[in-house]
This record gives sequence, C-alpha cells and structure tokens, in this order.
Amino acid sequence: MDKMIEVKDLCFEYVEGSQTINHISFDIYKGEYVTILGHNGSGKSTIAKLLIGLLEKKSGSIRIHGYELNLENLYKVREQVGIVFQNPDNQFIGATVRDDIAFGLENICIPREEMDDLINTYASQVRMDQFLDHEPTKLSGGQKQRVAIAGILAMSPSIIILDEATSMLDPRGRHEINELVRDLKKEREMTILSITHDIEEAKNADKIILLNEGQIISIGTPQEILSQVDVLEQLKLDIPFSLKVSQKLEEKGFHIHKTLDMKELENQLCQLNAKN
Amino acid sequence: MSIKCKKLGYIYGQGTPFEFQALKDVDLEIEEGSFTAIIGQTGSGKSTFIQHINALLLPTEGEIQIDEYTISALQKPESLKSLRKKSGLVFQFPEYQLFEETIEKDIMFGPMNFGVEEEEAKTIAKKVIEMVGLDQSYLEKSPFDLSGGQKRRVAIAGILAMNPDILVLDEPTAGLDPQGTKEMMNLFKIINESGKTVIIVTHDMNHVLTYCDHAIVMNNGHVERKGTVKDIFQDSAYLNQLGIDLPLITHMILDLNKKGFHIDSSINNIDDLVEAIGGEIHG
Ligand SMILES: Nc1ncnc2c1ncn2[C@@H]1O[C@H](COP(=O)(O)OP(=O)(O)OP(=O)(O)O)[C@@H](O)[C@H]1O
Ligand SMILES: Nc1ncnc2c1ncn2[C@@H]1O[C@H](COP(=O)(O)OP(=O)(O)OP(=O)(O)O)[C@@H](O)[C@H]1O
Ligand SMILES: [Mg+2]
Ligand SMILES: [Mg+2]
Repeated sequence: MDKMIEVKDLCFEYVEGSQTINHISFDIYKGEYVTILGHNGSGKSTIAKLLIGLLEKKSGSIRIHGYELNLENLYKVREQVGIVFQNPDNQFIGATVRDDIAFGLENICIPREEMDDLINTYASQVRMDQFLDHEPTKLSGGQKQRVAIAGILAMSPSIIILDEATSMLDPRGRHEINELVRDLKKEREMTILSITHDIEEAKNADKIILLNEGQIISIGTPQEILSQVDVLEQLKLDIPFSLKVSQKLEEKGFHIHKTLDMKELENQLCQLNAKN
Repeated sequence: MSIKCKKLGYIYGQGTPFEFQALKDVDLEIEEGSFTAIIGQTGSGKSTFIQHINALLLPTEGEIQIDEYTISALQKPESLKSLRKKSGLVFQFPEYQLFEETIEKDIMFGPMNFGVEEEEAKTIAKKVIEMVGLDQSYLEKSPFDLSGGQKRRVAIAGILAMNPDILVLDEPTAGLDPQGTKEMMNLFKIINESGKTVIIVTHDMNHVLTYCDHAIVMNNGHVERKGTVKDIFQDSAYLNQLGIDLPLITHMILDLNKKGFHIDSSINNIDDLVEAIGGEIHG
C-alpha cells in the first residue's frame, strides 16, 4: 500500500527548549481516514502546519507521498495536500466566494472553462451556491467554514487535512460534510487527516492518533483507542456517549457488552427488557 | 435586567448594492437570571442578534431594550460604555477579541477601561486565567502565540474579568477539548446560579439540554420558536426538519420508548437516564 504521510522522529519547538512536538512518528496510507485527538495545546495544529511546510521542523523527517519535505520539494508536496485551517479567515484570498474558490483552482492550473462547473458543484455540495457573490469575510461562522471546505475539495488534492474544519457547523451541516469527505475518500481514495474534539465523529475514523503534550500516546482503531476510559479521561478527553451509558449500567450490575455503537447498545437493552 | 426586542431588524450594508437583511421582526424577551440558548442553522442570524445585546450592532429596524437602555433604529444612545459594562460578549472567533501584547494586558483592558485600578485589574487577571483552565505563566505570553482552544479560553477570561450582569457567549466551546468544554459549561452554570443572565449560542444540543433553561430557535433571520428547553425538545419532528439533532440523551430515550420502554423524555442528564433504564430492565 502507498504511504501518503510518513513522519519519523519529528521534533519542533516554537521557543527554544519548549519541545512542542516531541519525537513523534506515524504513517498514513492511501485512502485512510485518520483522526488526531488531543487536549488544547497538545500540538495538533502544529503537526498540520509542519506537514505542509508552513513551519520548519527541528529534526526528524516528513515524507509526503514519497517526497521528502524540504525546500526543493515544497511545491510538489503542497500540490498534493489541501488544508482547511482552524480559523477559516486565515485562508480566504478572493473578494467573493466565487473568486476565492477560483483562486485555488487557478493555482493548480485548472482551465477556465472547467472552473465554473467545479465552483458550482462544490459550492452547492456545501450549500453555499446562493452566496457565490458574497465576500468570504462577511459570512457567518459556519458559512465561512463551508466555503473554506469547498475551496479545498474543489482542488481534489490527494491528501486533505481538516483542522477542526466543522467546529462551527450546525448538526446537519456537520453530518453532510463528514459524509461528503467519506464519499471522496471512497470514490477517489483520498487520504484524510482530521483534527477534531468531537468523539462521536472520531468513531468513524479508520485510525486514531492520541496526542498528549506533543507526544503520541497511542495509535489504533477507534475500538481500541476510545474504549480506554481511564486514559482518555486523564488526557482531558471524553468517551463516546454509548460507552458512557454502558459503563454506568455495568457499574449498576447489569451485564452489558460495552459498545461504541448506539444501535447495538439499544438492542441489548431491549433484549434485557424483554426478559422481564 | 430583562432584554426585550420589538420588531428588531438588522440589515448589513444598508443602502449599498450588497445590503443583506440578516434579522427581521424579532420580538422576544429574555428574562433576567435565565440561562438561554440560541439555536438554529448556519446563517440563521444568531451572531447578528446577540451582537445587539451589547450594542456592537445597532438595530436598523425596531428596538431593543436592555434594562434602562433603549436602543432603536431612530434613537442611538450617546454613550454605550455603561451598557457594555453590563453586558459582555465573547465573540464567535476569539481572534478578533485579542489585541494586546500580553495576555495579562488583554485581560486587564476591560476592567481598567471601566475604571478598575491597575493593581486590582492584575489580581483579577490572575484569578480569571485560572478559571478558564490556564495557569498564571500564560499571563506573560502573547495572546497570538496560542493554540486555537487556548485563544478561546483567553477571550472568555477577558469577558469574565469584567464581571458583567449579562454574559453573552457565541459558541464558546467550539475548539475546546472535552474537559475544557465541561469545565467551561459548569463555570457558566455557576455564574448563572449567582443570579446573572447567561445567553449562549451553540450547535451542541447536549449542552442546551443539560445546562440551559430556555431556548430560542432562529431560522432565516426570524425567531421561530421560543420556550423552555423541555418544550423545545419535545417537538423532535420540527427540530429534525430544521436539521437540528436531538440531544444524545433525548434521542436515546425516544428510540427506547419506541421499542417498549417508558422513560420520561425530559430527563436531562446521564445519571438520571441510566437510573431510569436500570429501573425498567429490573422490571
Ligand atoms: N506561534 C506560536 N508561538 C509560540 N507558541 C505557540 C505558537 N502557536 C502555538 N503555540 C503553543 O504550542 C502548543 C501547541 O499548539 P497547537 O496550536 O499545535 O495546539 P493544538 O493541539 O492545535 O490545540 P487546540 O486544540 O487548542 O487547537 C501550545 O501550547 C501553544 O501555546
Ligand atoms: N458583515 C456582514 N456583512 C454582510 N452579511 C453578513 C455579515 N455578517 C453576516 N452576514 C450574513 O447574515 C446572515 C446571518 O449571519 P450570522 O452570522 O448572524 O449567522 P449565525 O446564525 O450566527 O450563523 P453561524 O451558526 O454560521 O455562526 C448570514 O446569511 C450571513 O451571510
Ligand atoms: Mg489547533
Ligand atoms: Mg454565528
């Protein structure tokens, strides 16, 4: 399988001696959906910025789709990676939503006659087609996030990094965007690295990287990571709702098979109820 | 200190070719001492509305009354300073609230602007920075050299420092880690229980259920529904049509009740939920 992101023994510090990123290593393969979970200030956004060469590592190595990330390859790497920043205002360039999406497409040399179609397609996929002539900075918070996402998706990069890209979306918007991203991953084998505090969303990842104070604590499937109740709590994180309920029922003496799946939990409860 | 709106409307860029009506005919009252949630889809007008509560935006139509202040399209008050002391707003994007070179100065700015002495403002800064889960070493740092969630915490601290009677929060937990979210919501609850009015814009219905008493549903610049949290969550078909999820607890109760359980659908915390489920399976 193709390795899309290869990080080895990576270190970074903003201020000398602070070790913001402390000897981390991980691999992400083509078509994987990987989520990073970690407390505020654990280094998630810093990792994202290192991966696109916006910050310069102190030591270690980063390879993107085989290319060593260095000055020489910077452009090649950026062509492959699209990032949605934590604050969408940091990525708007165009004076209108249309121009903003177009600007990204121009950068990757999409011919003019294909642009309009792409802009319309992606703007309507994020439900912003009515706002193409609006100024991106004069939108509501959720609208800004939608536009930022459309701009990146339209460019079809092979790797997408989402840094809390849906933190201000309404619930339906969040489901829709997550679904959209999952579809792209399936259809085009896009590789997704998603940073989020939403544990329910993390359940859908192929793999979770658990980060604490700049160090990786563990990497595993949602089932493996999210069931470590004590670890998660200690790291200032949460466990999924279904686990919380099953755990509390177990403490009360009920025989419940702990599960991340809400439907499965409900079925268990119904069976127990039927026995009475 | 109730808040009353009469036919409140707001048009962005009024009189320009780009004018956009973001609020229309908003009639409502928010009671003193309540913990009110404002919910609704992306772009429904929530942020626009709450910026009227501390006069960051002035109505282009109708009026808003906050205690003894009346602000209307026709009658702009001469000074807004004392209103801004009464009503503190934490922005949706914390970046736009931070501007000083150190976090300490940033937090001290509000209180000093309202006449608090420097020494006392320093003491306040030390207190509020810890209330938002950051230690005092942060006071010397620049507010720009922070992570997203840390910026959010500092922005909240800056408003807490002013000790406003009305605390207005625009998605205050977006970007906070789960523990920070829980601590901050508990903090707002404590502030509310001390008699202050708390108004929160949020997309997280779990918070609305567990912490708030009233909810206002906005849609397309209108207030479409208002009532107690209990009443608002009773009508799941309506919320579903608006694309608003039910809280996880309520969702689970409705699911189980469809399959033969009889759990009170107004339960608002997980311990009561588990208790109720346990009661039924025991039979
Ligand atoms: N420009 C900067 N200068 C100095 N320190 C910084 C800078 N940006 C971030 N930091 C610090 O580096 C650490 C990691 O920050 P980072 O933004 O990567 O965290 P994060 O995991 O993305 O957190 P959040 O969940 O709050 O967004 C934090 O302690 C932060 O204070
Ligand atoms: N500065 C502005 N100039 C013009 N239009 C604006 C401006 N700010 C917001 N709008 C528009 O007004 C409408 C309401 O925006 P508002 O920010 O109040 O929404 P919101 O309910 O807070 O949404 P969200 O949940 O996404 O934050 C939106 O359609 C938005 O595009
Ligand atoms: Mg971050
Ligand atoms: Mg808003």
